[in-house]
Amino acid sequence: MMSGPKKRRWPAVVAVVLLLLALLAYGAWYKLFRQVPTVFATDEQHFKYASIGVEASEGLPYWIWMSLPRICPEMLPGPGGYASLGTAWEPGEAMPIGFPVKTVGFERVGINCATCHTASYRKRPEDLPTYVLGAPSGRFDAQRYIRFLFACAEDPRFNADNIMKQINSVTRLSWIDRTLYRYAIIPMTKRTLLKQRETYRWMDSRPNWSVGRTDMNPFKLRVLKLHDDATVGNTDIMPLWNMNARNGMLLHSDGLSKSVEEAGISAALAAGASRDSVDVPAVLRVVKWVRQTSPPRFPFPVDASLAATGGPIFKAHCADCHSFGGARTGTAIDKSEVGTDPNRTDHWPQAAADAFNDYAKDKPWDFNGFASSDGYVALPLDGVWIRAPYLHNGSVPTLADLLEPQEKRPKVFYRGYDVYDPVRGGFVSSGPEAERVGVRYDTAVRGNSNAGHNWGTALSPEEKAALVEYMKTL
Amino acid sequence: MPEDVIFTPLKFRHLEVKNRIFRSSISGRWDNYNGSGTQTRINWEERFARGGCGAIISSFVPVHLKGRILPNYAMIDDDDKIPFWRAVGEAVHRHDCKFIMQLSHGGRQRDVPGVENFLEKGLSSTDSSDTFHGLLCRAMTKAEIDQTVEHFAQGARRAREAGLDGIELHASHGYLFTQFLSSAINDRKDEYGGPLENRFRFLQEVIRAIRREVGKDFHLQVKMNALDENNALFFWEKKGNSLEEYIQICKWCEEEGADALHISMGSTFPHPMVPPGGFPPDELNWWYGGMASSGARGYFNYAFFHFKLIRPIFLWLWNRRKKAYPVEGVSAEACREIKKHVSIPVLNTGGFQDGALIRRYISEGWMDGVAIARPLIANPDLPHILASGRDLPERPCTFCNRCLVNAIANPLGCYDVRRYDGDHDAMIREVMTVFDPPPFPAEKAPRIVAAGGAA
Amino acid sequence: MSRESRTRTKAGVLVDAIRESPVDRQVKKYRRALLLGLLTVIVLILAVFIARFSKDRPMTFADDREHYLYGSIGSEPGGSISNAVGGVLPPYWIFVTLPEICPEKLPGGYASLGFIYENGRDLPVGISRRFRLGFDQVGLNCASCHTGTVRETAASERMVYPGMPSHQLDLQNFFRFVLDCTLDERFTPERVLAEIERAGGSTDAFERFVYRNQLVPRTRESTLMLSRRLSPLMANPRVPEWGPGRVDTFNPYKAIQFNWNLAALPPSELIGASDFPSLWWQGPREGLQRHWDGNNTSLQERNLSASLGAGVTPVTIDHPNLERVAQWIRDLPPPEYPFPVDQAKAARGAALYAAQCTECHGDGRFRQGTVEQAKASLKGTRVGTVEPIARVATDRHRLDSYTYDFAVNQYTLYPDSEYRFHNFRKTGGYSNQPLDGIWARAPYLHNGSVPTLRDLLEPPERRPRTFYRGYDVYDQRKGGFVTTVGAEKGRRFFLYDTSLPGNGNGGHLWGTQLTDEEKDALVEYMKTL
Repeated sequence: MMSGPKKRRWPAVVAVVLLLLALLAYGAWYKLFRQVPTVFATDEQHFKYASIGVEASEGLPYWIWMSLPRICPEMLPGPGGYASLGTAWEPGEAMPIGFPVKTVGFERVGINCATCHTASYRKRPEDLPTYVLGAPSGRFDAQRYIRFLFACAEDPRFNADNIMKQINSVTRLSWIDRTLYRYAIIPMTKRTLLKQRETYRWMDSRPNWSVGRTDMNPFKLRVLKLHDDATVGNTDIMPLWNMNARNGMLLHSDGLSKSVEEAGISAALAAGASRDSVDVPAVLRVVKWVRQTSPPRFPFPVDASLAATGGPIFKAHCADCHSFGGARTGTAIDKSEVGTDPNRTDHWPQAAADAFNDYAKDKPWDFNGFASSDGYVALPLDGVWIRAPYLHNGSVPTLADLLEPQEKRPKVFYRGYDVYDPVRGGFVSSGPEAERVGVRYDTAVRGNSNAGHNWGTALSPEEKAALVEYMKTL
Repeated sequence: MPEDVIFTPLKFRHLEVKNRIFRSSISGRWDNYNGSGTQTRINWEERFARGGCGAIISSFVPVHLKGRILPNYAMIDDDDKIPFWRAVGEAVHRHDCKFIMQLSHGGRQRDVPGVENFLEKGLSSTDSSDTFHGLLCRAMTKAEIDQTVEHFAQGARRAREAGLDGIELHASHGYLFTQFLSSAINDRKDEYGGPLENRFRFLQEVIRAIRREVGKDFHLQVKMNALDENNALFFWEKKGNSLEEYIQICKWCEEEGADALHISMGSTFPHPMVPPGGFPPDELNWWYGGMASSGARGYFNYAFFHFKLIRPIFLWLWNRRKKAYPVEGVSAEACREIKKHVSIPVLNTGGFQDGALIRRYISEGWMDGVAIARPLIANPDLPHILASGRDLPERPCTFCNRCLVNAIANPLGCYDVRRYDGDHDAMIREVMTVFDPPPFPAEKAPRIVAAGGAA
Repeated sequence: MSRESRTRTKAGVLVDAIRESPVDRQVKKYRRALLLGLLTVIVLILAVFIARFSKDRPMTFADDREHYLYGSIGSEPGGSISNAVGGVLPPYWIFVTLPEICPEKLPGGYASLGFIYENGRDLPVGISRRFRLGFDQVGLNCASCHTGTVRETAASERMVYPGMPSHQLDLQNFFRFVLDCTLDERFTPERVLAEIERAGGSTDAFERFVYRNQLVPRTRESTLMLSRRLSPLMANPRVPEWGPGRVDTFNPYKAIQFNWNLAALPPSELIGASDFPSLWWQGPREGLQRHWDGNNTSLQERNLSASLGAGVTPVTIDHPNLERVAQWIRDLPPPEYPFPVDQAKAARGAALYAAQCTECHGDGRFRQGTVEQAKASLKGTRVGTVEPIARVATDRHRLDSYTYDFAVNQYTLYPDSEYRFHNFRKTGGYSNQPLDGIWARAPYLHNGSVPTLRDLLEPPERRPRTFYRGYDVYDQRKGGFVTTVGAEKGRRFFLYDTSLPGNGNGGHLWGTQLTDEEKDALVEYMKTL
């Protein structure tokens, strides 16, 4: 009588405990890991707001993301929240372009291709910005963004009390979400950011990226875990359009890849997606789209007759390297020949390319096309007007300046002001507003040299003006 | 000097006592655990006879094992106890003193239930536990009542066979008879509960059974409350029987053939007015622990006695109603009322010591005699002292009640160390005198030889 | 296993508990009852606490006008007691006793700041009362800035017009007083409690405890935060005083909602003071570009945004109460001109108005008929569209204080809800407004730089350079308030200086070329709008 019920009771207890554990596990999965795909009807919307797989690995919880500028405002470049970082933010949208919100258990904010590949320009200072999808961002400061997150995470103000106060003043989360945020998500986010911060320490010993530029070193050092070779890879963002016409050409400014698909996936990894979280179909949808998009037209009037005289000059001096079908277009020109700043091509050794090709051997999207070159790729110049500043490192503000010899190119100018200078072909890079809004660019800093690419510098002023006018039509 | 009324004989129907001083019921735990008597009890009772009391009312003598208050009290539950009681009677009689056995049943008031009883609830008129210690109980069935009535009858028979001078039924202080009589306790719906005559029925049946068993010429007195004051401690309790109701009960007792009444008060024991006097928390802290597990409120009470911070709460409750009554002659006024309504002699107990007071009450007809316990413990020869013309002994009883609290655990005696000039050893020596003479006097005792030992 | 025979070993010692006595069982019952009792008491106490601190009950008014004037839109502090959010004013009893605590800072009480006290009420128009977080709290509502007073002469009775710009209310000095006094050394729990007692408020021991340990310290804390965030606006010599009847709508918002460091903004962006607009007859305005610079076409967003300015947060806002206000002002008719109008003169003015003004401002039909008819009367006009700054040429500070960066930040307000802002737009000028009840909307232009209608018809160089604002006696000849009175019964009025940045009275030259007679006629007609 004493042992009878004892024997029968145990299985029931075990079953109940297991059931509770299963429920708990399901709840934890639902609240922390469940993925809800971001689906958009049009390719443009997909490009602007869809996830490419960053959120699950390095996404920031939405409510923390929203609170941080209000908690650490002085760590941003200026008043304006995330807008002060030069994000492209369309009227009426809850998030800037390139900041997808994806639910992985809870809403998380990541970045995608559009973060760096969306340009803005204004024809006049009082205009509202026009956003050009696929064009290299001239305003967004990616390094400043991650540094802001790290600095705020290091700050004592980054604590559950402060963040919950911010959250509770703008929304009414459920009890369970509040509890999760307070006791799990906020502390975990702080820890994760501080850990990530260590993987970005190498940045502190190098010149700043500045707005509109990035570096491949995060990939070398964070993803491939290669040793720190103290190189500087600061480079302007590439345009993403008309990729079909670029078939077979080397990609990236130093030609480290040949496949658009591989370039896309690797960029997603560099943006923070992990091997497991990267959303390859989402990346490939972007790639498919940019294969057939066209560059934006020059939005100001063009002097057609002047441009017509510039055409032959372009053919004579530029087309061989920069026209679709040019003999050397899409090939790497040795750094000794082009003469531009060597830092970028030096920062990507064959070892990095090999490591890259080995990185995803077990994945269907295994990389094969990575290479290393000793120079810079001669790129086709479609839509070149909005790709300012020029050269791979953005060291020359306008097309007109590029046609001048190095000593006549500006030594110091300001990047990040998006009012366009339709005469010189580039963004306004000096003057009080450019200085207030922009970031100082000093060509004397390592990796910032504006030397080299002397083709066309010997033309007459009239020829140069005609050539610039012609290039606006590209 | 006119004749001292205290020392005039008191004549009952079938008993004459030489003076008006009765030793009221009191005892220590002198006897064997099974209720058989010891020499100590003989020593104890003889000491008061020697001191000049007219009669001794024995301590609480249970008529059945279930009716004990504490173990180690001699019982009268079997014929095998008769010889012992005969010996007690003879010892007392040697001093021209009468011996009246108090036949008792504690009902639910079992202060220390004893190992034989602790798994069963006490018998009572009700299922509700006692309000002081939380002593648990259950209502007796008719069969149990009949059986208990018979136990009393047999007890009376044994007392008579032992050559004792009479019996007293303890129908006060919250013991079984009170549990039936008191409207505050008795919640029965049958013929033993409800109206007064129903509540009286159990006592009535016992008196009748005793009379049937021992005849009409054996002295039978009833110790009866004059008032219940059941709510003296806890104001939320019921008040209990009034004086009028008890007068009625006393009249019925007389009609049923009681030879005398012995008036006291209080529906529980202890009770703020019974015994009147002090309430020594230091002693309670030491000795109440012995009965902490007896009732469901024991630990609770013990906490109140133990923790000085909360003592005042209990003392406030305890002293609340008490102030309306005198310490000496606490129930004397009520006794006078009862005496007016009955023709049999009436004794009174509760705080008597002062000779002048006793004399006045008796001579003014408030009562016919007094029963004294604590002052006699302090001064067993109090009657001789009063007879010598003094109204108070040199070291009178202080009514501190330390004797009663000690009785739970220790030999009964006067534990007021102030009466010994603060000499604890002297006090203990005095307390221990009750064991003299020892059960086996020295010259007859077997020699105890120290055996073994290291050589 | 039976209950009475548990056997367990502990450190090798066998411990047996094999039996229980009835007393043990009873004691167990008592303990259980005691525990239950204790638990019940704790739960009861907790329940009383929770009931008190989670109670959220505004004062309610059956009458819509009363609701508008005194009802709560949720701008009192709310959220939870441990995490109070929102609200810019201290709790009720602190609020009403503040003028006693710092008497020299506000000798005339709140009334001297232009707050309107109607027949013996404890709180002025525009201050709502609501029981929240366990105490009576106060907040601002729409009526504080949108209820004006008018007198015919200094001796006449004040007329109160709900929906009219509170041209008499000195909001900036009101905030300054509250911030100053709650940081004053006299603002101690003891003093506050003593003043509450004197004012007839009763506090029990618990409430005194909370005042000491929660309310007074928290008031100080939020004051410190607010005054730090607002000091670049409130204590900056380069930012001119708002003066009565004006507020800087968006700069405090940048600081309070987004914690922007205002000091890092271009100084001229911090100058954004402009007049309170009228809040009547909103129905026909749906779809027009609202706010002075026309930055939003949605009435709902305009209302929610203004509520944020009054101190609500997305979690403390009272949507039903706000909606009731919104519905009421939707149909609230503009007030009739309360003085005589020279009809013949007005008729002459009507023709001039049609020629000079209707294209941008609509005409007299706007205030007549139904919402739909009023809307129809604007057909073919440019009412509710933005006039580029180059054309209107009025002071541009207000326009520049609203930036694109600010607009995109506004899109994150009321996040994850149906209320999230998405209609705010940066514009390039000032919006053309309908002129219903224009007689009561003085002073004129967005920054209130021109005191009367008649002055507005003069070229800028002939408009008054300085004038007093805040006085509510009406100037029937010029169409506006009397501007020459500097003080009355202890209340000092504000000397408005048009030479200060943001206060420019240039621009809007339409009508300035008319003759004096024509101008008088035009003003006479405009009184009927």
